[in-house]
Amino acid sequence: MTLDDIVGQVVPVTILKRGLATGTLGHAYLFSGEEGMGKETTARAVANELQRQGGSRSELHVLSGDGSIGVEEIRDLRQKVAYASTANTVWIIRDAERMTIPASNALLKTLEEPRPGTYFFLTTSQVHSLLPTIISRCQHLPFRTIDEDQICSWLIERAGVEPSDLKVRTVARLAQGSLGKAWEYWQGSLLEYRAEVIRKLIKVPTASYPEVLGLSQTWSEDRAQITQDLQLFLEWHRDLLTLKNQTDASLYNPDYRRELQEISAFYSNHSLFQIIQEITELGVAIQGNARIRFGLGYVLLLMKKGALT
Amino acid sequence: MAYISLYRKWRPQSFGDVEGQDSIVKTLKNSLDSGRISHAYLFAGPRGTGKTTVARLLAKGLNCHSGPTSTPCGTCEECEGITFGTSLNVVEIDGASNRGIDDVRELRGQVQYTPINAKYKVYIIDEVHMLTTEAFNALLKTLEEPPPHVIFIFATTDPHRLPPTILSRVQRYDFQRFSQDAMIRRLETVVKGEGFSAEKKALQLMAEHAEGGMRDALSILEKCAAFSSEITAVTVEEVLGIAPREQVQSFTQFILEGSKVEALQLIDALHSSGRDLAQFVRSTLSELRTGLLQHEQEYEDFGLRAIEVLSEALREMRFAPDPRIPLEVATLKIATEQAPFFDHTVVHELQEKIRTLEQEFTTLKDQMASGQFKSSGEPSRATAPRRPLVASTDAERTAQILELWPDYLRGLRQEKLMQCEAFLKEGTPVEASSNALVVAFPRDRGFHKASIEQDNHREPAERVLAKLVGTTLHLKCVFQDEVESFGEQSAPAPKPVPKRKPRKVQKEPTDSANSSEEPTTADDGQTSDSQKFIEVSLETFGGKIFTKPKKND
Repeated sequence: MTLDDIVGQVVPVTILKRGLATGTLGHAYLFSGEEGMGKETTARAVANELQRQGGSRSELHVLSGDGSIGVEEIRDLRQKVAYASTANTVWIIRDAERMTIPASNALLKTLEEPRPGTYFFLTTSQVHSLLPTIISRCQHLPFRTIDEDQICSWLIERAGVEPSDLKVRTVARLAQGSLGKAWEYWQGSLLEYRAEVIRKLIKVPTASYPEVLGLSQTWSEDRAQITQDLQLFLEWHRDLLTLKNQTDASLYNPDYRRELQEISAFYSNHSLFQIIQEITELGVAIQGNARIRFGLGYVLLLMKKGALT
Repeated sequence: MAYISLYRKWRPQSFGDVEGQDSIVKTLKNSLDSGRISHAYLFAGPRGTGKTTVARLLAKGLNCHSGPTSTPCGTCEECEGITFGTSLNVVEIDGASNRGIDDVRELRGQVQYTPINAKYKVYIIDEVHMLTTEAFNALLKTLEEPPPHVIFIFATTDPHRLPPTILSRVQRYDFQRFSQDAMIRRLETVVKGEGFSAEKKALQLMAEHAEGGMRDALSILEKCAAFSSEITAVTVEEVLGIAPREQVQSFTQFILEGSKVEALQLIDALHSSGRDLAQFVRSTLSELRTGLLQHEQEYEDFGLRAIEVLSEALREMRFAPDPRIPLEVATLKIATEQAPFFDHTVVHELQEKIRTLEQEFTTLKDQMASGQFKSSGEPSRATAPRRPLVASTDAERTAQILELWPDYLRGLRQEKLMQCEAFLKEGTPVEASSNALVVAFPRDRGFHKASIEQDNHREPAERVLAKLVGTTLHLKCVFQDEVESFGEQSAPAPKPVPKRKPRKVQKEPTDSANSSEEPTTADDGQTSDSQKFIEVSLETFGGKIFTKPKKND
């Protein structure tokens, strides 16, 4: 994987390439952007190149994993930076928002003035969760959403299918500018799963109250799953809302345009505002360990209640 | 020599290079020249305002071989040592990493040693807000009266996290965010020094987006220089992912006019070209603010509300997986909220609706007065009004009570009958006839049932109920499993085995006086079902049927 293989990210790739070619690469970069934009891939591509330039004694350290990054890990990093070999040492801190506040503070001085030959690449999808003092010490390169056409051609090449394949367009649309999401949709059962959720959503406005409650009773209580479901809820109601106000709106669910059109007639703008608000708040509450069953039941009932069928 | 980021390379090396912080620089220079030097300084201020830089300059001024002087030579051993961080007499400590009491104890031990080949030993503690409380306390005595050769300089972005006992022992300097002009001046110096070519407008944009931090401004410059050798305003917009000003202006116009379709299309275009939507909202907000301050009419009408909604959206966008949705919702909120003011047809529509409602209401009232309602044997649900004041059939009355039940409970509370409310809250109304209401309680709420059955609770409760429905209804309390066994009208087949083991099987208490209007109107099929259920239960658990003695109301 080299920088030439990165799809769509013109600005970051140009900056990094020039930096590598002219030896003017900064010592700390922050790659921000939604999941699946190629942040880590880019970081690794630059790391490869730096290792090649730095010779066999170069080192690559990656702080990955899911848990938070504590002050101990950063102290360990500082030690390693201080005693690193003279060749290039690259640090990739994946999902840098995982650093606790003490850990972030402990990194500041090192991040500002590391030993020559030390390079930091921080990636994050939540740049607002980082300390401003961290952000300002890095060259911040935001990764943008990728153009739909570019995703299409990437998919065609990667999956080796005909450009006429209808699934390509749908997937590229659904991916919302993220290659990672596109590939997930393409490969996995995500497409079917989404269809399943939407099938249930379509039923809600016309179902009876007991049916809606029954639906919430049988809904999966898996926390990771529910976050994904809520995002689908959000996109669905966003589509209803925009379609209601702009008939040619570009949709998150373009393959359900007809259904959306029908259902959007059931709702008033106001009730859609309220539903979207509650879905968002439920997402926050669930992250704060709220009971999924209650919140989900409430949101589903609201969808039912708001619909003037 | 490895490449060094601009913000490090262009760290000012003399007081003259420091842009912006004039009052601080002047004070420090004077004290250096007059030799009135404090033993402890605190530099506080937001990121990238020059705290660490000035701390190092101060150390240089103190220890320069020709010093103490406000114009350190920059060439002597000490000055160079400080520039490259190798001086033995200037110790820079990372407060965030050495934050414990042990680190401070070690420091206390070290301050005893005199400087080598220089006048002072300077301790710069950066990010000092991260020290623990114990560490701060351990430092107090040393900080108040350090050995004469020791100078402390603290730097922090968070001065309010320092204990007051520390704050009172230091000379505090508050660093301000850089003004646009100061930043542009500095950027121009760097551009010239690095041999970049940049247009003035581009530098202005950079300064705007650096939010007062010089380090941020230089980072942006570095990025732009790496992206293109010719730095124009478009380069900056492209690199920062910000929307051009014209787009911000037209968006503001759209939402103020209520042109929602155009506004949505603009968001769509921004999103697909990968622009930073949060930044876009911030620009829109400042555009709205400017308009408000200039007292433009359209801004006065909706500007405030638009700012309110957009600020809310901005907060949500930070943590939303997809920032586009909150922005779209906010846009539509603003656009639809003000639409009625522009669109008088909506008002007419509403007036029309109210007129129709009034007409219908009068007809209904007439009908009621003429008693049409009572006489109609079984009005179909579709044509019946939602809440008949006097229900004619049991089914209807039941529906009415079900609907009114929450109101009833509330009514009890208002009448200060808290206990009645508490008891009845546990039950659910099941059926109503013309003079009785059956309330079912779960098996484990026997106490509540028994309590409400007592006259001193039942009578006031019935009184309130009568007030609400317009006719006297007697409260009849039963257990839920009893209700299940004779079946609600719409309920599915009764559960084969109730969860709780019934000790005794009670028969539904019948009301002799009103046998014609028996609340249970179960049809034959259901009766035989419940009969069968009772038989099976008797077989399984063993038991007797005994009839509850009739009670006269």
